[in-house]
Amino acid sequence: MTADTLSGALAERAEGGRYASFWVGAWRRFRRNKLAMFGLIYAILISLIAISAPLLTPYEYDKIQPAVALQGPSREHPMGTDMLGRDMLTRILYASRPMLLVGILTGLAGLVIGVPIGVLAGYLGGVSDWLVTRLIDLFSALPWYLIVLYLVMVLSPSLENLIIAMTITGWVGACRLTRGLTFAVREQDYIEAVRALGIPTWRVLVYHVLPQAAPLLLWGFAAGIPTSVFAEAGLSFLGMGIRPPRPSWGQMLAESGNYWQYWPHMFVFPSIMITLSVLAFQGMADGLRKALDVSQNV
Amino acid sequence: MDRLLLQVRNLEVVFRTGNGLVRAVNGLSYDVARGETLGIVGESGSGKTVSCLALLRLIPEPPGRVVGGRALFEGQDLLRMSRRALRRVRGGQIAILPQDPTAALNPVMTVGAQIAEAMSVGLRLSPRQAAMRAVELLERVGVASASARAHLYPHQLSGGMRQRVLLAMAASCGPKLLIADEPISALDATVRAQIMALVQGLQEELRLAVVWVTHDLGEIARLASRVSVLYAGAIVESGTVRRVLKEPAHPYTIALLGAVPRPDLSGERDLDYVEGSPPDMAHLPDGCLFWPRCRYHTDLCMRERPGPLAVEDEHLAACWHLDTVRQRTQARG
Repeated sequence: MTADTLSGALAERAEGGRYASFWVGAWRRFRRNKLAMFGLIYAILISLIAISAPLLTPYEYDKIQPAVALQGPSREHPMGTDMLGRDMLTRILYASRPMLLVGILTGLAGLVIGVPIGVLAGYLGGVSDWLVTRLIDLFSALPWYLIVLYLVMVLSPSLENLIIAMTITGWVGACRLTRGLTFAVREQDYIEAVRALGIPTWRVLVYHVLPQAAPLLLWGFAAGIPTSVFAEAGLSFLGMGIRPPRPSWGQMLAESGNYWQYWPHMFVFPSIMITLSVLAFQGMADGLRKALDVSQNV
Repeated sequence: MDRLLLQVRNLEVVFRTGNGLVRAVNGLSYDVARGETLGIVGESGSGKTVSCLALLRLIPEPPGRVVGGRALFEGQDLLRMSRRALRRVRGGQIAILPQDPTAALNPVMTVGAQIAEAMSVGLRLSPRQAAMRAVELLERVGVASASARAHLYPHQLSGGMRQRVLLAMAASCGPKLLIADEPISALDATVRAQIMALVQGLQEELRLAVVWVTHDLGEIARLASRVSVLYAGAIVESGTVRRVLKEPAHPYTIALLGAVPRPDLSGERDLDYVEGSPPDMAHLPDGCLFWPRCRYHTDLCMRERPGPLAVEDEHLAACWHLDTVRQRTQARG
């Protein structure tokens, strides 16, 4: 066998997956992490529930039936009913919708706003970078929960305004990550090399800088979900989030305030769901961080 | 058609740093004719890389800045043209073959895609055409089973292969000038000759002019027709390779040549070295940049910087005491 055919065979074998790609390796590491896999399965299940909620229950979430108010778990109402006789299970299922919407949409909106600003600031440097950095500092220094509370108050409480308010304070996370990484990648020789080939700046940013940030941004996105879930529950609890009669776990918790001593089921089930969700998404994000960290490669 | 392709005149580049103003390039001038190979030789820190990057305005600003000079490429000043026009020159007219083939490739993009990208932007080829051309180019630069290797990432290739990929990228858009910035310094001795031969082959094929920057006089002797010697960001001597290597006129060139090991003369002479240490570019001397290390220096050297003086036709050296230097070296030699 000549040297050429040998190296050719090696190259072909490499192409056939002999060298695991970065994402294949990351998935392998992720799969080994039990908490992360639990988080992923939970995320898939809760998403399916949110999408198909009307199919899963014979009741409506806002149908008031005083006759069956404040019943404990039973065959007809596995999680009991609330003070207006609404089926708790139905409300629990429907409440996964605002939870996911807030978690995902604020994360996406943060990426849409934060990534371009971060990339430009990191790549251009100079005055624009100074401005963006100060802005990031400002937002990091202020207590974001209070700002969100205030913004929702001004905008009037609703699901949409909650997402808007959390985006206004939340984009800095993605921006900070992207800026820092761009700053590091910008100094690499290969950026100079592609610029020497006459590749326009936008192409350099999109094809040569951003892909480097993708794993970090994916993690950042996942890590933001538990925070958003908790924030949505908290704000709804305070009456600053989802408006009744649409259900939210935090709001259901607030409603149980006058009843929980005698009818604990009103308090227990929403609490379990909030805790489970935060835990699962946190586990998934943590698993992602470990899986995407190349230094952990085995 | 004008024979002159690139004319660099009095190029000056500075960097603002914590240690004050670093003058990396100090009045650099050279000419490159179409299709010829100009060697530029200089030691570490003499401004080799910076002067290459400055031509295509690729030095980071800030801290760097081109503060003076012209770089006329086919009559147009690269240092003053619009960003749009400059982008067409980059890759399409002037390509750079970088020093470190490992760092100069995007680690998360296949090499085929990287070669193709330059062509889909520069030559407006469709993705399909660009990908096919990329494989052809890889074959041209001696990469075996190119169609399979095009799908590999840089870390799956050897250093020599990566430099071939970079050469394919540099040649992809049919440039008229290739600036090779120490392209083989980081490579194995066995691969160096192959890369040099490839560049020579491409040069004939594409009528490519080459500026070959190096610290190795052996490469210059093999590749270049003319050579310019760089010291502290300025040319101290230039001429045909034969003349300069055989009868160097500037004290720095003489010392540099004395420091080249010669197996054929081993035992007959001691290896020379250039006395003193390379200049601190933040605190350059007045007058001639070389005088602190020069055994021939006089008051004149410390006061005024010599311009290029003719030693003979097409052989210039920037030294006030060319005659003295010649007499002394002949007497010694």
